[in-house]
This record gives sequence, C-alpha cells and structure tokens, in this order.
Amino acid sequence: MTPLLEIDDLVVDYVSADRTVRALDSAALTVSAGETIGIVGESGSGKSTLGAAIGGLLPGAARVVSGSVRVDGADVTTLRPKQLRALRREQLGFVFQEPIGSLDPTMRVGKQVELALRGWGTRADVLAHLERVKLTDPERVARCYPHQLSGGMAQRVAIAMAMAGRPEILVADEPTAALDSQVRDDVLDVIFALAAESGTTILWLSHDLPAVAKRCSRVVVMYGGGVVESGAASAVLAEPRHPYTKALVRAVPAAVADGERLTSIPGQPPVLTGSAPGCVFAPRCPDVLASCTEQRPPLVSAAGRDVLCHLAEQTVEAGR
Amino acid sequence: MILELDAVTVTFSSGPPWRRRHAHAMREVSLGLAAGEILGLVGESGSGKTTTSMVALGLQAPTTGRVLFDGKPFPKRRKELAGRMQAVLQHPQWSLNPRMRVGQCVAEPLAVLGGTPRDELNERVRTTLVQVGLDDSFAQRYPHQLSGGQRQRVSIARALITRPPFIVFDEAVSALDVSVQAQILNLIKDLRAEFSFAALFISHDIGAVRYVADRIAVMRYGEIVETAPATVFFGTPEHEYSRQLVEAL
Amino acid sequence: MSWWHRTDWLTRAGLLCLAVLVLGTVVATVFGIGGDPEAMVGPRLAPPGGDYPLGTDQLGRSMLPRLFEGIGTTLLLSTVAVLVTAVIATLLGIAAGYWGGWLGEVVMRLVEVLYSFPTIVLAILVAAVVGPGQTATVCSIILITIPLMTRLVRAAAIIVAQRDYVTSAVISGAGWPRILFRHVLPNISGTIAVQGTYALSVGILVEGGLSFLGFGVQPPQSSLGALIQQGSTYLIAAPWLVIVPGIVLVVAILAINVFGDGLRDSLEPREARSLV
Repeated sequence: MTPLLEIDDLVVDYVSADRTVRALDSAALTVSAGETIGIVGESGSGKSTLGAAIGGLLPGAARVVSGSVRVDGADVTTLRPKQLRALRREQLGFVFQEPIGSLDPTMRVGKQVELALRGWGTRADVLAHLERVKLTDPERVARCYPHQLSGGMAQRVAIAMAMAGRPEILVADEPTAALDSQVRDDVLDVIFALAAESGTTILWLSHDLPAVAKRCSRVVVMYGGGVVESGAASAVLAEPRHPYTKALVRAVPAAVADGERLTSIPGQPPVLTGSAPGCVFAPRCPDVLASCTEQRPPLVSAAGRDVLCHLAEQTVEAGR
Repeated sequence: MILELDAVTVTFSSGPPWRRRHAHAMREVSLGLAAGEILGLVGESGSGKTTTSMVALGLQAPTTGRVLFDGKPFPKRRKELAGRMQAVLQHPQWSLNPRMRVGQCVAEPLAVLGGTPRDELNERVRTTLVQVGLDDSFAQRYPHQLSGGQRQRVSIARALITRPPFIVFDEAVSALDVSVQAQILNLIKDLRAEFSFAALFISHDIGAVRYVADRIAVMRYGEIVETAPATVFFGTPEHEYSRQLVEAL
Repeated sequence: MSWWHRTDWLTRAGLLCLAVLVLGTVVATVFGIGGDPEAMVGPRLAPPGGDYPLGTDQLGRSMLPRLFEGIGTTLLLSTVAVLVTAVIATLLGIAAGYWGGWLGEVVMRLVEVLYSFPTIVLAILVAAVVGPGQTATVCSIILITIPLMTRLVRAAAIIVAQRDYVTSAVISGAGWPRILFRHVLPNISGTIAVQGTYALSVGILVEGGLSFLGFGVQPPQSSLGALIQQGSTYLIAAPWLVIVPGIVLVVAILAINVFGDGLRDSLEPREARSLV
C-alpha cells in the first residue's frame, strides 16, 4: 500500500540575485492516512517550505533541486498545472497563519464558502459548514466581509473552507500564531474535531513542542532544513533522543522548576547555502563527536522512532 | 519606589463629536515598582498591557490619575529623564535603525546624555556589547547582518549603556524562537543580578514572566485583576482568571 | 555586491538611455556639434540627410543642434524644478507625517486643493500669473509634483515614526533634530529618491505640454515641447520635425520611469524578511 504522503530526499533552494539559500536539505517524511502529525521547528527550519511543497505552493524564487513529494503516489513536483489544481481541490486543504489575509477582502464570507463548495453548495450548506466550525451566529458571519471578523472568527471561516471539500490532508501552518491565546485552544479543537470526523490527516506546523505533543499522534522535529527526529508525540516529549530536541524541551521557560536555570542552546540556527557536509546541528551540539562535522548523520530507526544523529547510532549499537 | 501608577485611567476617544465613542485602555490601574524589582505584567492582547507600558515610559499621558517616576511627576522636557529610563521593545526587525551601525545604535542614549568623550564612548559601547554576550566587532556591523536574537541583544545593550535604574521590556522575547528566547531570558536575569535595575517585564507568555519576575500583575480588560509575589501567585492564584493562566502553564 | 549587480536589465537599460541623453547633450553643446542652433543656414524644411542629419525647420535652422538644445533645456528645467519640489515636499511631508496634529491637517488640506486641479489647467494658470517662459515652466512643474510627493513622504514618515528605534530614541531623551536627521530622514531618503525620478518624468511631460501650448519656453530658445509645437504646423510636409523630438521625449520619460522602478525595487525590497 502506498502511503498517503511520501516526501523523499527533498532539496529546495531559494534563489535570489545575490545568493542562494537552501531551505530544505534532504527532508524526508512518510505519513499514512489518518495520522495527526505535528511538525515542530524554529523559524528557518524549513517547516513552512515543507508545508508549501506538499501543495506545490512554493514561491517563485524556490527551486526544487532534487527529491519528490508524492501525494497518493502522484509526484507533486512534476505534475502539470491542471493536475496540480485538481490535487489541491480534491485532496488537500490549507490553513495559514494570517486568517484575515487568507480570505478575499472584497467578497462576503458566505459567498467565499459557497465557492469553496465548488458550486454545488446551497445556502443551507454554507450555513452548515459555518456551524461545523462552531461559529455562534453563522447567518451574520455569512453576511460579513472578512475585515469585520475577529481573527479567531476569520480563522474558523478559513478552516470551514479548507475542510469543505473533505480533503485527505490538511496542512495547518501555525494556524494560531496570530490569535489571542484564549481562542487558540478553541480553534485547534475545531480543526482536530473536524479532521477526526472526516478522516482527514493533519499536518500541523508549529514552533511549540509541548502544545503539539498534547494533540498529535506523531511529532516531527525539523532543524536546518531536515527532519532530525520523529516519533510518537508523548515519547518524543518525555524522552527526546536527538540533542536538538532535548535542548528544545529544556528551553521552554514553563518547563523549568522554580529557581532552576533555563538551559539555552548556544549559537544561532544555521542558514544553509548548500548541502551541509556533516550534521547541521553539530556547531551547537553539546555532545558533538569528531565525525559529526564531516559525515552526514545516518537515520537511525528504533522502537518507532527515527533519529538523524551519529550519537543515536552508537547508543543503538551499544544496546544490541 | 522607582515607579508609581496611582489610579491611572486612559481613555481613547474616536468618532465625530456628536457620536463620540470612548474606549478604556486602562481603568484605575495602580502599580508600584520598587528599586531593583522585576514586575511581570501578563494579559491577553488588548488587555491594556501596551498602554500601561506607554504610561510607565511617559509616552502616554493618563486621562486621570497620577504617575510618579523616582518620586516626581514626569518632567515637561524629556531630556531631563535622559539615561534614567530605557526600553527593549517587541519587534527585533524594527528595533534598530537600519541605516546606523550597531555601535552608533548602542551609543545613542549616552550621546544624547552628552558629556562623554568620544574615546570613552567607544570603550563603553565595546564593554556593553561584551556584557550582552556579543563580540565587540559587532559595533561595525549593520542591523540587517544580525539575527533576531542578536538584534535583541543589541537593544538590551542600548538600554543598558546608561545604567538606568528602570527598564521596560515590552514583549521583548515574544518574537524570538524558543531556543533564542531562552538565551535572552537568561541574559536579562544575569544582567539584573549584575546591575540591579528595576524592570517592567510585559508578556503574554506566562512561562517567560514566571521565569524572570519577582512579582506578577495580571491585566484583563484594562484592569489589574491580581498582583502578588511570583511564588505566591504561582502557588495559589487568587483570581479565577489567574487560576486559568497558571493551569494553562 | 554593488548596486549595479542587484538591478535587472531593464533598470540598466533605463539608466544607460538617460546617460546617453545627458552626456550626448552636454558633449554636443560644449563642442557645438551641428553648429549654432539659431543660425539660419540652409534651405527651409529640408529632409534629413547630407549636411543636416535631422533636416532643417521652417526657418532653415539645422534640427540637430536645435534638438540638443531642446533636450538640454527640458532636462535642466525639469531637474531644477524637481530638486526644489524634493526639498519642499520633504519639509512638508515630514511636518505632516512626523508632527501631525493641526499643522499636518493644514498641510494636507492645502496639498489636496493643489492636487484637485487638472495638471494642464494649473500650468496655464501659473503661466497667466507669472507670464509665459522658463519661470512659468519651473513653477508649474513644482506645483504639479509637490502634492504627490508630499503625500508619499508623509506616508513614509508616518511609518518610520512608529518604528521601535524611533520610540527607543524618544525614550532615551533624544531631541527632535536628532530624531529627524539620524532616524527619520535617512530611512525615507529612498522614498524621496524614487519619487524624485517619477516627478522628473512628470516634469518633462509638463514642460512638453506647456511649451506645446505656447506658455512654456519662448522662441528662439528650443525645448522638446517647443520643437514639437513648431514642427506640428508642418506635420504633413516635414514629419521629421515632430517625430524626432517626439521619440526623444518618449524615450526620456520611459527611461526615467523604468530606472525609478528599479531604484524602488533595490531600495525597498518587497520581501523585507528572509526568504526561509
């Protein structure tokens, strides 16, 4: 059986007149239907590029250097525009960070939802979809223009539109980053409830590891354009294997006990201009080995956990 | 008390005179900040945190109520306050003038104060940059050559160079990534231990506030709903809303 | 990475065109290429060729030196006017944008009144008051370009005034001269430069229009507009009298606009954030 989504060795560059920046450096990810995946990474880790690549939505400056993105077996990077549109229409849904900006400012909300229903939606269907995202007064919301809505309401509308076609995959790129913390949980509740109802696979891109671990079945940690660790959410949070994930877990101020000092990661996240010779995390890694800077780390899979690290290889071998 | 807000209300009015609408950004807010103390101010966006910081910095006059800085009301001429009050603001990408070198940015508060010879000024810039964990060669760089975390360090250096007794950190770590945020929070803690300034630390991230603040004030709809020492607050929050916040931690 | 390498070929082409126009005119004027523009040397309305590369006009004057003189007059008048505009619009725009308040309101209302006049009506009005000629041309260009430039400088000043580094400077106790000259002005200079190039092309157009109507540069002096106006009488018999200055006018305006676009893109990148 082919997995629902298979990203294989994906390399993406952003090319501008003065320089080339590598956004994804051999990123790999396999997702089966019905999973809820949290992709965690800091800015510059490449998570947004990965999310955009799934829908063939990379900006004009982006070049796919190598690798493939397969949705249901079809390679998004080589699809013709017409097939790509069909794929986006029928199998994918997207929710972005800026809810009001993702809606058409010149069109009433009801009309936009109707368009998202591809013309066969009636007025009642539109209201039903708005009700599904727990909007209290769907009638009124349908008559509004996007700028008349609060951020939380607009994001619900965006979710209703993304989920209207019952997509197989929903990519949510920091859907709550622009919202007040009070409504964040409500919006996430709506996304996860709707996805569960229609069997949609969720890819939630976020920088908040603890929040992701609470809701997702699997967590994928990205750093420097690649996936450095993935595994069951609770296991990754409780017992991170990759040094970066470990550092990330320790760096959350809410996680330290009273009087304890935050352990920060020294140095800065990398900006790659080409393929990294060794491990991208090596310059900041507390447990760096000699081989880390020279050889690219191997993917070590053990007990449902994938870790991209030289150290992990050693521990697994020691355990054998 | 380095800073005292006494029943401060700030009202913003909009619309034509015959249909004037008033919005209360702050209602009867009273706060006191002792010398060397870090007060954490938490609340949702729109709760009045930013207005409170503007009032504390003397950039927004209260509609009613009184503000005392170092026991005196704000002087008419801002220059009289020069060097005694600084701020580290939210947006790392706009915190530094893109047309000025880092060294000039950091030196500015001292230059405004005047009376420091050029050699000494450069020396102070170098030592301050080292104090915030940057190499002194950064003085020659332009802001666009720095990362978000480095820029925020430069902002802190700029705030620190006059050794002010009071600094406002307005969402100073909110725009940073988790790993960088931890570096900056540690830096603020260390610098406070070294220079013992008082600070108003404003954030919507209750975890960050818990980490640096000695005392916590919670704002909601323009009002302070609870003020308590950090240990007490996180042990037994009084107000219903505070309890929600602590539980969400 | 130099500025030249960051621009696209269109911008470079625009800059090159302008350089050729300006340098060509300067060289031709200095060395007197083509002879005296006001000497009636040849047959009337001779077609291009031979002794008169661009033909002669109705008085038998050679068109080549007249064209050089015309380009020179037009560019000089427009440039002087736009420099004056840039200074006035910067002062007004900063006053309205940085200080705002009643002063800003007054400035903006005045500017809007000016803006509401149709361009050519305003120019004719000015010519009627100060009398036709070079002064009228310069004044018209200034009055026509001030409103747009003031509004854009004001918009830029408002944005810069809200930046955190300005707030920090205010908190540090910096006085207004320091804030204006070290923070606001350097950060809106890009806007001023870009708008200046657009204003220059408007200026050339206004000069052309005004001289064409007879209110601008007066004979025997030539300018692009004056040349087109004089030649238009003989449009059928001697089309080269209009076509050549017309093409130069269009090329100059296009080149300036294209160059302005490139300047804007390199000074105000649309993608301010890092790409990743």
